[in-house]
Amino acid sequence: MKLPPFAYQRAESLAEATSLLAEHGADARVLGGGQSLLPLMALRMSRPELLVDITRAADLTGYAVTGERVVVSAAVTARAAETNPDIRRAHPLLTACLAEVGHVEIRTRGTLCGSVAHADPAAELPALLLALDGAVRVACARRRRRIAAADFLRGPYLTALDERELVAGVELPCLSPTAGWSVREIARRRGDFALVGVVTVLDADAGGRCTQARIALFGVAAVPVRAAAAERALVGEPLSPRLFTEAAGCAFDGVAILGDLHGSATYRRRAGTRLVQRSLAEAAGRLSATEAAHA
Amino acid sequence: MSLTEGWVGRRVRRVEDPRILLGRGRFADDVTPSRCLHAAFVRSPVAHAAITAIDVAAARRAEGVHAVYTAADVDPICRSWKGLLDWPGLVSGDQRPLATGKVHYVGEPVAVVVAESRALAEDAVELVEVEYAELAAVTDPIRALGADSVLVHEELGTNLAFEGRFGGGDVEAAFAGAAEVVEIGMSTARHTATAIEPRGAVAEFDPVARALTVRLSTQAPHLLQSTFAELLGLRESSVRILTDEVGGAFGMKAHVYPDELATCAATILLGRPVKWIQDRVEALQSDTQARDERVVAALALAADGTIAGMRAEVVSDGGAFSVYPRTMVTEGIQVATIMPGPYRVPVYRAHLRVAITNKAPLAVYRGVGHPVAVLVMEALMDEAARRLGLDPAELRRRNLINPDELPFTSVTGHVYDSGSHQESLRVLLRDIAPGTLAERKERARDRGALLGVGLACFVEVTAPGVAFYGARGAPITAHDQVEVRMEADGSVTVLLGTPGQGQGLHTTAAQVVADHLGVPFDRITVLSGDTKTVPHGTGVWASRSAVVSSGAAASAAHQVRDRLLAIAGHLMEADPADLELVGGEVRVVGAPGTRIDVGEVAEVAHWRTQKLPPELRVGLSVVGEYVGPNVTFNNGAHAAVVEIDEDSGLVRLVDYSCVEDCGVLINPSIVDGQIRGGVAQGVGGALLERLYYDENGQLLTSTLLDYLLPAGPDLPDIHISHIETPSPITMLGVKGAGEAGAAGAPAAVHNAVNDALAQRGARVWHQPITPERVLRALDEAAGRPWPEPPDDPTLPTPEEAP
Amino acid sequence: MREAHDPAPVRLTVNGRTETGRATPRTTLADFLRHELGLTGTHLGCEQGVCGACTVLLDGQPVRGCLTLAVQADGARVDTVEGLSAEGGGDGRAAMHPLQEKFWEHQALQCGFCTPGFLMAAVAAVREQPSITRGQIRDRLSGNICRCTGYQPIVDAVAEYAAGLGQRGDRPDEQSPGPGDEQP
Repeated sequence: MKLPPFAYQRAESLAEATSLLAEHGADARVLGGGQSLLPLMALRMSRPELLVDITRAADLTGYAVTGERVVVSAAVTARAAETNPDIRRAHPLLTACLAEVGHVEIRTRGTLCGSVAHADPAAELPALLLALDGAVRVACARRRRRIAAADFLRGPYLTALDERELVAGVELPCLSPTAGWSVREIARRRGDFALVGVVTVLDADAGGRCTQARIALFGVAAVPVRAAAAERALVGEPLSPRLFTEAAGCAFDGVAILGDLHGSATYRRRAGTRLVQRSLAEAAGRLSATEAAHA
Repeated sequence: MSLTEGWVGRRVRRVEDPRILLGRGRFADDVTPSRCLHAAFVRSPVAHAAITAIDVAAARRAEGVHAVYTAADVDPICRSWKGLLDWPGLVSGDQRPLATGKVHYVGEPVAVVVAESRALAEDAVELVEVEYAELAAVTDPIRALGADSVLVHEELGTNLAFEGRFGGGDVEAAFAGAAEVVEIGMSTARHTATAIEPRGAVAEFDPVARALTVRLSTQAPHLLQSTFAELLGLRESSVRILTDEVGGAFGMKAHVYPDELATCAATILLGRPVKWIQDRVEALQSDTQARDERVVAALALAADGTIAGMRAEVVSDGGAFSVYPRTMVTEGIQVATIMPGPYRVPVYRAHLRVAITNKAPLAVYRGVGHPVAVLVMEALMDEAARRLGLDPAELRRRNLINPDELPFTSVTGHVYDSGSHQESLRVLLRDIAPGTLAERKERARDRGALLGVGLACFVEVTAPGVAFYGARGAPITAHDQVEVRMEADGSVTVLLGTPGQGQGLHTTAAQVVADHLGVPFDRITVLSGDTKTVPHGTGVWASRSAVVSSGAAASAAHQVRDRLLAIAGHLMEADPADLELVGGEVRVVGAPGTRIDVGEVAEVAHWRTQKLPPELRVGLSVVGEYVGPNVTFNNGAHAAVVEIDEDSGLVRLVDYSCVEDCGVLINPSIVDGQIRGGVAQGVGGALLERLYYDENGQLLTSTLLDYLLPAGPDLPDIHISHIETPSPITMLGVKGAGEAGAAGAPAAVHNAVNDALAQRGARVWHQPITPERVLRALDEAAGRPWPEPPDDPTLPTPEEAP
Repeated sequence: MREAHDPAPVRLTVNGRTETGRATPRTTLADFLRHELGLTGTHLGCEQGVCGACTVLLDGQPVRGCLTLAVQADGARVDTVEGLSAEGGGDGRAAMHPLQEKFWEHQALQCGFCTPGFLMAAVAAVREQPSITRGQIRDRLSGNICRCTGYQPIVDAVAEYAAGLGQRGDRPDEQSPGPGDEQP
């Protein structure tokens, strides 16, 4: 199972990478960590003629942490972000999501941006991006643009990128200081892709009334999806276990659930409903400064 | 000499390990001859089709390509084969190195490309154009047996490869008179051994001597030497099979494989060394598969729980071919004949049918039928205990064979030579402290989890003798040989006819030779795996190697010792009968001060034979052979404790205990390793592993992302207790141990899951026990039915009484 | 640009020694180590990044040798199983790394094919987390598949290795090979 032949160029900068993509178009692919792309190539399901290696592009190795968001550039590995104390402090939910990605030996090469660009419907990071209404910083030789997560993720392994563009960074909004969060997934084994997973953010006022609910489901549909009905059921209501049951009960309303050999659509819906319920309770438990934290 | 003070029985560190740990092991892909070329296969992408055309022209022109061969090139130099033994009525299609006319399963080799590198060979594989006229795929073994089914091999006129009936007695009367009848239907999923080292062959042909040398990842080198010679029309003395390290095999590397023969054919046709190293997709598609069994079985019981009779209907999905030499039916026959297990089952009838389908061939894999047989029997025992309101352990106690009943002939004709059937269960119950389980169940429920405990008692056929396969016409015997050679300095070289794949056979052979020859362990070097150097052996299979290798090694060691003592008698002017060899020294019995180092004796025997009478035999190299019974049975009992998350259906194995009685223990650490590894594979089968063929015969699990092997977090620590009941019939009282873990684990885990689910009135009957199956069972028991039918195999309808 | 079919030089510091070989872009680090540099201790079990047999350290971090291109590693430091022990100590003997000793003692291998990957992953794990518990060892090594041992002796070996480092008060990275504890 050897890789098909391809040419290789290490890009020293974002500009060099985008100019190579401009020149080679659909024949070229960006090589980040390669942890998703190389297995596909080994199976000869993908066969680019040129790989543009961005892992050592000097201007893509950084990250920025502000009170509002964490921005991670394309060459930053999942493991580097996961073990970064600034990121852990500013965005514990991001750190928790990263710890769920594959195994350590995958995270030491795989990148956040690569995971988002690969758009595996069962992956954690696209779901997180969607839950937070984050954005993808996209670059090509001619322009930069910023695409909202919901617009970026188009389908299974399908994004809004055109063939001359690459994901230069992702923006992950930070949670409000009072918010609680949870990431949970059901997988057959540690490190496997989720049969169903959920990223949850809850916020509440001092009286325990829900002011914000963000629930993104992954591993269930062609793309990660927001549990819109459940979010609507929560906002404005006093948080309680009964409300969580009710919200979880409608979390999959309108979601086109897909089954596969590891789990049918019915399984994903039924197990997922209970997972959402647990996730809501866990997120509520992490709320600070509200009575709901003890709901 | 007392063996209890010797090397046998000690947890000696393995002699195999340092070179592997240092990264210096020599696996098949670690050796590349000069001028070696590399092979890659064009394999069938469809399950069932006629090949209407193959165009290799573009591939032959591709960069780095030396040759592209199809059946047209290879058939003239390689005969076809099939594995039939002489089971009455067993039929199979012919296997060839490359598909001829038709493909029968996804992954069947169709053409081979030989190029400068594996990567270039794979590039050219993509250029071979094969036209397939697709036929309907036969995927359901029960429908395959219907009169209207498409045929996998038209020339056979049937998809029924084999049908057999086993057991005896008036089963109908037993069921008619029973106080209670319990019937269940279960299935186990097709899985595969998944040795972490894929198969591989490095073949070289000397056209002058017409000699073929093949470095192979195999567990049966001599068998393949014979078979390759016969199929390729070579003299057997001109075929040499080499193995050093083999990265796991588990029964899967004991067969004749088309791709390995095609690699040999390629080297013969090209005159250059050819290496083929299998990749994981090829492994999942084309290694022999196993455990694809569907069983409906029933127990008839008296009111006190005594088993009055039993019947079983078994359908085995045999795949496309009956592999050589062990066939596609061995698993099904073992399922049918082992099922009564360690219990007194007075009357029994099993009806077995083996179906031919468009899947990779089914053959032997660690445990061969035992995991399925034990699963069904033990699930029946638990279901019967629930029905009768008896403690599951108590029901077993009432039916297990008692010591005074041994040797015991089972209702299917197996003779259990010895064992500790009741004692194993007693020790197991001591180890798992069943008194604490009720409280643990309650505490688990408080956490939203269901805790369950499952027991499994079993016997296992080990170390088959000459009659087991040999009498059925296969070149599989049991007179394995070991050469023990004392060198001139008193160190010892041991040549094993039987190679290892990680079991530590070199270590156990050295332990046995140390004791039976009387030299220190660290003076012994063990070699195996070169059919031109080592004496004859039939390979590693059926938990036999410790038994046959140790027996043959001891026999050779005794003969070398006798010669040494005879020589020493001359040198020491003593009667050899008064001498003993202990710890590398020849001593006069009763006069420990009178001694010489065995090295001095050996030195004389090699280089100073003028000191000895001319008639004395000075050769210190002797081949010993194993002489043993037809089989010996080990036995044991397992207990698993699981926790089920009611929200997800995920099963977590929290405790595992085994009691194992494999007779005399040569190296307890090695036995522990065999048991733990076997349990891990059994747990994999129970909870994770399934080769998933869709209704078109497409294999959907073609990478290890989809074919799920247990990893570290999926297993708890495994507690092991040993009982040593020596076999009265094997040379050293040793019984095999290699498959016992795999035999008991699927049953123990399954029973634990059902014990947990029974708290909610639910059960599962099919393996692997996926979270989906568990959640569905819980929902249905709670009156929340699922909209669509389950993805469970159909079960056979029991045959009317003949 | 490195052309698809032209082998070009790749220079690595392997086990502390500079090694140069030639590779086409599609050559993985694992194949380069095995077939170009002759370091056959690193094994390939799946070539899909799942089994972990090919795990090596790249600039001190455990990575899949089958999912890293040799050209990507150009200029980097690579540590393999062959570098764990002190080779060529001058007396014709190989001194095992303490973790290798523990694997031997606990029989944490049977066929040994997965073992190099476990050793490299475990060395990295203990370096990052010297007080690692048994449960954490199982979790942390969940990306390495062993088909023979049932994992327990591997856990035993790694746990004892980690505990031994703690008792001796050594810094774990002094026990492990070449790479320091450089973090990204």
